[in-house]
Amino acid sequence: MNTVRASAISIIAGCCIQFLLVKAFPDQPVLLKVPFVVCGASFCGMSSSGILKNKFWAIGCGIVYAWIFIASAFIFKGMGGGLGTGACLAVLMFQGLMLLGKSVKKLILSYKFK
Amino acid sequence: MKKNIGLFIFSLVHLYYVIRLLSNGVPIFEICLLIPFVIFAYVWGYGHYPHNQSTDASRIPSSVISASMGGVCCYVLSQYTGPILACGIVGLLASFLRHLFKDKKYHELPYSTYCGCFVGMSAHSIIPDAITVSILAGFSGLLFATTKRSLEGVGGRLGSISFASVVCYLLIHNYIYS
Repeated sequence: MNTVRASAISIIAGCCIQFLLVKAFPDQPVLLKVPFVVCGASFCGMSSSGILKNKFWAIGCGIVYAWIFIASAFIFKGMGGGLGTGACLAVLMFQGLMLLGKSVKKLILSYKFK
Repeated sequence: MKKNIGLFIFSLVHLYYVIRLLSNGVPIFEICLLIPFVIFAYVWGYGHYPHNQSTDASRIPSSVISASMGGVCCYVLSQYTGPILACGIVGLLASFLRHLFKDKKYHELPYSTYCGCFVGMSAHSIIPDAITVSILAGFSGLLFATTKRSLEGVGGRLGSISFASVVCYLLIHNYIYS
């Protein structure tokens, strides 16, 4: 399955889940945001396996995206690509975090063996 | 110094995004958590992504046309289903384009269509008509074809390209009508 199909299917699944949740809990307005978060997180999941190496990294990246979404949801309302840009920043931040961690680990190990 | 135009465009888009976050009252300590890691990823990317981004010119028309089509379809469909479901439906249909056009030159069609789709997700109050959407989506298709190798494999790359074209439109629109 290519990444576009995977993302599109997860978006449609997110919309279906939101529909069921709204039916079950009609007095929870926060549920209306579910498809937007699922959509943005699915863009994070479109990253290649070279960047998100396993499922746990994908979960971590999704959490970072949720944080960016909370901060930016009302600022970029109605602007096409806003969710994708937030997702891109989340992936870059997560990638930077992992690369920095790797570099620090390498530095500590080299210092230890000197 | 080697030039990487694609990475430069992405960095401008992300800088605009962060400035908008700051100007709309997002706490600065949250931005300070975000920025250093993103800069580190960019510095790493500058060393790793190819600088020679020669684009196959024969792929540009197909990218522009498919992005335009994707944008307009998503924009029209979003009137009935909402932007998210419209994006999902158009994306799902676009993913089958690869089976219809088997030539290697058309392998990027699902991606360019999906890229145009994000422009079509814009609210009707921001982009008022389908013709503007088709032009902006076409522009995002052009950007997609020319920045193909930058941030390769990073999720949200297509969204950033669409965001760039929507922001360009808004800046020009605001300049003309101010």
